[in-house]
Amino acid sequence: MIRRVQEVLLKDNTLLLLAFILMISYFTWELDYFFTKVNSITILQYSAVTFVSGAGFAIVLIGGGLDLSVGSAMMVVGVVTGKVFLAGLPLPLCLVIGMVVGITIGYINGLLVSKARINPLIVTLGMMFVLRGIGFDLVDGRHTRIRDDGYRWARERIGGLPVVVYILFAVALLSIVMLRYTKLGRLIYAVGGNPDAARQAAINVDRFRLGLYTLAGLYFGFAGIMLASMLGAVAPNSGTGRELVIATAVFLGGASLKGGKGSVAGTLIGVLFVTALANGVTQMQIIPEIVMVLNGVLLIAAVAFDQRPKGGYR
Amino acid sequence: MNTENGGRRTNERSSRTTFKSIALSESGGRVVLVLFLIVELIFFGLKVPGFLEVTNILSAGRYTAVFLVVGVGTTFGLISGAIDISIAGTIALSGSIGTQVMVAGASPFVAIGVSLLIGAFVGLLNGIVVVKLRVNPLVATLGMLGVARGTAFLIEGGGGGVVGEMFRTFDPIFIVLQRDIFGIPLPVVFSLLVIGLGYVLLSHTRLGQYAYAVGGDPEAARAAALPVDRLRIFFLMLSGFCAGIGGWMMASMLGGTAATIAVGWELTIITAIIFGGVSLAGGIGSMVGTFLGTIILGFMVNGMNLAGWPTYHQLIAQGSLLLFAVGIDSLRSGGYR
Repeated sequence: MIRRVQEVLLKDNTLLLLAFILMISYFTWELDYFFTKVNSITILQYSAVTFVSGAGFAIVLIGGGLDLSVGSAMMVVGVVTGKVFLAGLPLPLCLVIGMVVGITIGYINGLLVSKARINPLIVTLGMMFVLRGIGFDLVDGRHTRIRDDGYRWARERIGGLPVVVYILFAVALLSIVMLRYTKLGRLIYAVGGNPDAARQAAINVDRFRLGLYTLAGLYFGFAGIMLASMLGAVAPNSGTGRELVIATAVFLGGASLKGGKGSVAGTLIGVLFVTALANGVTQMQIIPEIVMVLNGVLLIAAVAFDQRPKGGYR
Repeated sequence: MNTENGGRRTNERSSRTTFKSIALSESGGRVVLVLFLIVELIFFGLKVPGFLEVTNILSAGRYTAVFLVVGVGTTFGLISGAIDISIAGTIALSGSIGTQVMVAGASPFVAIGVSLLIGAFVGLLNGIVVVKLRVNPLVATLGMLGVARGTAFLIEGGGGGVVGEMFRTFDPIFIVLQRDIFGIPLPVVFSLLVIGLGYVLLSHTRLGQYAYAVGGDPEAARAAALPVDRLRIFFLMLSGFCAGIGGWMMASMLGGTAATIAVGWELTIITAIIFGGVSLAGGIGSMVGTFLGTIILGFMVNGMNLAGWPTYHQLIAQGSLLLFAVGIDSLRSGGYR
């Protein structure tokens, strides 16, 4: 009976949705400003960057990998984009360059995992620091504001909604369709869930992993140029600590370290959850670092909850 | 189906382990490490004037001492199969709390004791999360890294710490690590004692054998009626405890610490240990390797600082070294599948 209840609760992020509604209710009760149109749009706006990078993070996890370099990768993309923009290149070209940088980073991660056969945890942990160093190096650690309306395209509004909110929903829709209804999506779930079986089915797992990390690089590249534009700056410290928030959101959304599990829809709810939490806690004017503690606890709780019924780590 | 799969994997792993132990003897690995250390010393010796002078070597030793002490615990954790990346947060938390207790006017022994207990407590939490909730140690300790450092900020009330300011008002016992003994900084002596103890524990006691057994093949260890879960918790506690000592060492050397200390040290310490031959897969490694790896990293950090390399170059160097070290480990053991 308890098992049955557990199953229902675990299915399709029911529990996460319940917790989300509870949290929203609590903040609405406590804070006058929380459940207003303006603040809701703010939460959506701040969710956008986290979601686009989180979708990439989730896809890697579903495919059986892990990419902790996400925050640093976004930062490097943003720094390069801003730097070439300051050098006088036209904006569209800068954005393309940023995306290419993201894809290249993903490709390098993929090579290290599939060819050098290094554990993805360590590959991306090492890359997290290498990239952070490179990003700082490119601008000598300096934070530079870019006061240009074109560069700050992500802050524009269309019909009252910020551009990034449209992007959020567009990326969500495309990713859901890709994962659910295309061959590639089914392949990601299949190989991620059981690489040995995939090998027996004559799937080239190495090439798959190379592609998987490169695909994630595409997402991180996109998130990186959005972040740079939202900040309106070249900000070498903009990626630090982001991996914790993203990982928390994605694991809350039902992804698993074992691969083959999770969804983009779940990631979206997870991202909204952590963003709304940070928003509410900040408004309650507690010390901001408590968000860090809460994210850490949530991350552990999410993974614990996911692994418990199925045995988990031995 | 699951058990069958698990069993097969275990067999594969143990046969790989034997192959590896034959293919790459421990002494062979150590020769490589010593050679690397010599090359490094020559490189920085030529590049940085004064690098090889006794005063510099001793000052490099002060920080390396903290890495060594924390690394002893992390080595036990890794060999028993659990990576602990919360150590840097634990250092910050235990150092901050120790400092606060000291500021509150407690006896230095209480302050030191509290620092160490905080470390062990964080380790205990890690252990419980990993063993009871069955969370992968990487994720558990990544979360704990945020929790520990965030808590350190909370305790400070979001304000700055008390680095250095309390220098004179602190009790001499709390800041004892600022002293020298026969010209050698006390942290160096202390860290050598700790790693010596770690060596004896790991290589010459039953406890050490248990660490290898639990990390190398948990199923076999269970079959041999070892209390695998309790041992896992214990080794993670030991890892936290050593990080707690590291926190006190920092507070003692600096005369108080803030929540912002030791950022990114988990990378340095884990890189050093893996460079020293401890395998991420668990069950393989030695304290001598950790010692050599940590010395290499310690001199590298010192040399880069003296050469005037910016911190971000050091990040690149350390990250690359980690990838290199694990790449070698993967090539040896067949690597990630």
